[in-house]
Amino acid sequence: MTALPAKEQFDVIVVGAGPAGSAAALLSARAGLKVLLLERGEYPGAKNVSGAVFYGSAILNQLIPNWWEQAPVERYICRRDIAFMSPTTAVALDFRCAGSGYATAPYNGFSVLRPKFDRWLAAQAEAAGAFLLTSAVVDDVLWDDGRVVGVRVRREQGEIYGKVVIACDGVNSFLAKKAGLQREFHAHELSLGVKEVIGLDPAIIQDRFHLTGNEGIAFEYLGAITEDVHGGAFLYTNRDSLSLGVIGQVSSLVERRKRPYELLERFKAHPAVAPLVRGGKLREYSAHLIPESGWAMQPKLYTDGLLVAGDAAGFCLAAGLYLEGMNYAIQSGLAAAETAIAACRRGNFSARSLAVYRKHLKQRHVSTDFRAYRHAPSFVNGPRLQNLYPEMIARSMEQIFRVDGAPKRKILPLAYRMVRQSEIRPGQLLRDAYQVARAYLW
Amino acid sequence: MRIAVCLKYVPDPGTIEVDPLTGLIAADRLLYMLNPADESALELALRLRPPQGTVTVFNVGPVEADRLLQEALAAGADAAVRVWDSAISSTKPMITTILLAAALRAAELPDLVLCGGHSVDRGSGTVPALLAEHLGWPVVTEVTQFEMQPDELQSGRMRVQRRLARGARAESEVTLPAILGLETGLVHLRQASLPSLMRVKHTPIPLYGLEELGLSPQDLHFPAMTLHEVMPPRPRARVMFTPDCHRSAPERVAQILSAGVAGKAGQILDSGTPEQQADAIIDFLRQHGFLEKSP
Amino acid sequence: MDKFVVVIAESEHGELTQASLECVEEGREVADQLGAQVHTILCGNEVTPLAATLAAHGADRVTVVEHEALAQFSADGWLQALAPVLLDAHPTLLLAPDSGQIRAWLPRLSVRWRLPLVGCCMRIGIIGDGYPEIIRHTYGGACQERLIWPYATLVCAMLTPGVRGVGAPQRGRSAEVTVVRPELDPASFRDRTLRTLPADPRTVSLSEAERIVSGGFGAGGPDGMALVKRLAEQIGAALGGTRVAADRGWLAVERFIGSTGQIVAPKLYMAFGVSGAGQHLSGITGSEQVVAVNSDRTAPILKRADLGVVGDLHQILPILIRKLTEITP
Ligand SMILES: Cc1cc2nc3c(=O)[nH]c(=O)nc-3n(C[C@H](O)[C@H](O)[C@H](O)COP(=O)(O)OP(=O)(O)OC[C@H]3O[C@@H](n4cnc5c(N)ncnc54)[C@H](O)[C@@H]3O)c2cc1C
Ligand SMILES: Cc1cc2nc3c(=O)[nH]c(=O)nc-3n(C[C@H](O)[C@H](O)[C@H](O)COP(=O)(O)OP(=O)(O)OC[C@H]3O[C@@H](n4cnc5c(N)ncnc54)[C@H](O)[C@@H]3O)c2cc1C
Ligand SMILES: Nc1ncnc2c1ncn2[C@@H]1O[C@H](COP(=O)(O)O)[C@@H](O)[C@H]1O
Repeated sequence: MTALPAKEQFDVIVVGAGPAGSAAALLSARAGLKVLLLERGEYPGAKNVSGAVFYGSAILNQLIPNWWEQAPVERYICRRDIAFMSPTTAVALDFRCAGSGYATAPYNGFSVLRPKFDRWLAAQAEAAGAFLLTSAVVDDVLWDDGRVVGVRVRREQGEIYGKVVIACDGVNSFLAKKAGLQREFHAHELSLGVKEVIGLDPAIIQDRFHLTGNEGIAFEYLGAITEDVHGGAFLYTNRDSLSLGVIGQVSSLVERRKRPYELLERFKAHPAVAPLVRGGKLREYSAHLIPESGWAMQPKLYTDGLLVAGDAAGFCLAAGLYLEGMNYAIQSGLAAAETAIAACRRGNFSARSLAVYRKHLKQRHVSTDFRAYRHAPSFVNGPRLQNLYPEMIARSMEQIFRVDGAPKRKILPLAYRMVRQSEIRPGQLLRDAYQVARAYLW
Repeated sequence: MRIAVCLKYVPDPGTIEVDPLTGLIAADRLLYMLNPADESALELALRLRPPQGTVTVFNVGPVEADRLLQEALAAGADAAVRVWDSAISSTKPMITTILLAAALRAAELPDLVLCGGHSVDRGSGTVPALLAEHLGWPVVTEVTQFEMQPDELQSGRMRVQRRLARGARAESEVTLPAILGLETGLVHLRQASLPSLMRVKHTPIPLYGLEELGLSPQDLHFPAMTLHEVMPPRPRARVMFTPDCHRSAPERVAQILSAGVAGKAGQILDSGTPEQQADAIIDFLRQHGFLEKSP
Repeated sequence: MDKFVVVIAESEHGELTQASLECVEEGREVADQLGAQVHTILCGNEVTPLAATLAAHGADRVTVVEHEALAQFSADGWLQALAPVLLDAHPTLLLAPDSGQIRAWLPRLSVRWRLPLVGCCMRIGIIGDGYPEIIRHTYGGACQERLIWPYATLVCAMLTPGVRGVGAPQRGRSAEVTVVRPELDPASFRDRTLRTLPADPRTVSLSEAERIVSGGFGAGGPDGMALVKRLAEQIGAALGGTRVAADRGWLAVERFIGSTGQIVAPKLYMAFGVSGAGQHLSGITGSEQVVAVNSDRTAPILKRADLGVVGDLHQILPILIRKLTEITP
């Protein structure tokens, strides 16, 4: 390549080769745009952390038909559990589906290992014609006349110009802040996820979780697992390993002076979890922030010459039953690409021109989902739903099943006593019930 | 002045996971990088290169190594050559050096070849001397420092420092053309600029196969070694001095059982004033000759 | 015909290297299994007196190659001097220390004679009716390999220093010593050693230092550490310490010793206020003499120490420093 004109070397510059960035680069490149995908890691995914169950199979299938046949997927998820825990007991809701869409194409979700998956997805973007550059840390946006015209990479002569910049640089997006779109987050809006990958023989995994072939599970845990820190835990099966971790709200971690890895150790030692991980060997340990406040943390999504997508835009649904970020990252990345493609056709990259991004996000159900669940985070991350109720449920079951010669109590009086002991006022209980319903039911 | 640098593509030690039972390495989890010692070698070559000089990088390895050679070009190397052929199945040092020697000849012999002293995968630091034999050149190993004055180049000699035990160094002189095996971590490789990094991304790397090198598969034939087993690391118990006959029987048994690895059963001083204790330490140092000559 | 395990020995500053003695002993063990003799070859100038030490560690025969041109190392010189001697020795197995100097000339012979050559060896064994089996470490010690050569008649192994350890010399053992004075042409040596430069304790890397003085959490703070450092300077030692001391910022991070830090093998290791946690001790196993000062009688470091002093470093160190100043002003 000979020296290009100093400005507008690229049509689209995508920063960050996570799911959001690679999806954006892939779609833009397919539309014939000249795309640069910048990643700070030595390769895409080198530093990326997730659970990870990827629930965007159907979405990706539209882009890359039967993508799972060539991608490094681990297992398809056909069983999900939600467990409510006290320190010694666990009550679980066990969902299994052998039916269509879960155990057959396009599948509902796959466990993936991010370093491999992200690398693969970025390679698809490259194959579509995007120019991927790794070991490239973006440390500033370039302005011209009040409009973003490029970025600066932390290297000699690192200025590089493009018509549109798409910031997909993850939670706490440096670019969105530099462009004045995002404020600093509060500690209660962020959670810290710590995660381990534990190696285990595939035959043992099948036995332990009652799986055949490539079936996999996704377990989520609520309640006493995180002690009094607001959060939850998860455990997923990979081909020959387990991914498990604990997620805790940053502010309550700080308040309660808890170290995340202590919580992880306790989680692994819980009687309901210990037998599942027994005999495994630690392969990797990692920690990462998660934006948890959904709607409330959303930045302005665009400005002149710049769009924000994925975690950078707060598109991560972490609300009790759900821990979904990668699918929304891809959806919003695609929406950003559609916006950029349209802008390139029009030759207009002003904020007004980029405003169609909102429409594209809506069409891809990103903004609609986040609006629908806007009440979930503040409440779900509250102490009662995350810690108290799950623990009460678990303790109640302990009482209900107990046979010790004492007279059997009916469930209602028992529950009543539990509530009394927990010092929750009945009014509050009602209000919480309403909140749960509002968050999840309508 | 023409300088050649040999670069090897090796697994990042941080990504090596050994199965505790079989000792096998999980190959699909490995990430690759430039051998650390070769990084120093390349940087020093770039610093040493005079205005009309060239630095050419060589690798024997499969296509994955092109990325490494491209990065070397981005950092400032003038040319790169990769050697590989479907008839080559491994990179044993003996075969690697036959190929490297042939490639160096094919690309017109340089004045100086820089190698890393040791590669961090299965290497054993023999490549520099093996290569020297194939080329009939002199070699200096464990080089920690070198420079070249213009008049030295004229005289066809250069001075280098090499490592001796316990931090000492030797100053050596070697006639050019020569091969140097460089220590790891002498210097860091410079960061390539963004334009050069982008420029090399799709630069094709010339590939030499056996035919281009004028070799036949027979030339690579060598007595076969069988890798019998790979196993997890088990430290070898160190031999110790035979038990001291002045000690009590239980102490001697303990000494034998510990194989001298731990529990030397030294002298313990748990009484006395600080003054006396200081004296005891001084006596100990004197007895063992640490006070006579300080190094 | 007699079988010979041939061992190459090296000397430095008029002494045999530890690695050479390890090789001789390893050779002895292998030779006993093969019913062979150990033939050790040593090269240099005025090194004949060292033959007795080689015999005491297991050599049956010693060939000393003497020449004034070999006073300083030269790979070309060693090759000229040793190639004919090695050819005459008819080895069944060739052992040498895995040192930088050996790696500069021995591989060349392996090309000429088409010998299999293995580096990073940890142990040589014999299997079946006399085939060598070699265990070597790879990937920086993360892995080990067991190698055999079903067809080779002779294998050449370079033994990693410090793995085997050196046993006690056997007094009264003697060997048949032959001194060879080869005809050499020093003008044809293309590489020459001009001089040797001694190590500087202040800048020498810890892993190479001959003396190390370490401070741990017991030093109590930067002031205590300054005392430790003063002692180090006084006896020409490098400063080291524990990870805890480094974490507190009393010590540069690249100077802490242990499994996650530096691995050291000094002749003298002095530890002040160091408890001797496993992670720390595994970094000092190669130390020859260990002196420890600790106020806790049960601290594990005292078990590893050749001289352990139970006491307060804040009291002992100032006195020690004062007394040493008096002795060596
Ligand atoms: C413990 C944990 C468990 C999770 N579990 C799940 C799960 O099971 N399912 C699920 O769907 N989601 C899960 N998530 C959420 C999910 O990981 C994220 O929502 C998703 O990765 C967001 O994708 P992204 O592309 O927006 O950002 P990221 O994946 O964070 O990617 C950002 C990329 O940008 C790069 N980058 C950042 N800054 C720069 C810069 N300055 N210059 C260049 N490059 C830069 C980074 O290196 C990175 O590659 C989990 C998260 C955590 C922490
Ligand atoms: C994964 C992992 C890896 C690690 N790797 C390393 C490593 O590589 N290197 C390393 O050093 N550590 C390492 N550690 C830390 C190691 O476990 C110990 O915590 C550490 O070595 C202890 O340091 P210390 O001896 O300075 O402190 P302490 O254990 O606190 O010991 C201080 C000692 O000083 C003594 N003392 C106190 N006051 C005085 C006094 N006035 N006079 C004399 N003695 C006194 C005390 O009796 C005590 O024995 C690692 C830990 C982990 C978990
Ligand atoms: N396959 C190879 N291609 C290029 N250079 C190599 C190769 N193998 C080894 N080298 C060089 O030889 C040095 C020593 O390697 P080794 O003898 O394998 O420890 C390395 O640091 C490289 O400079």
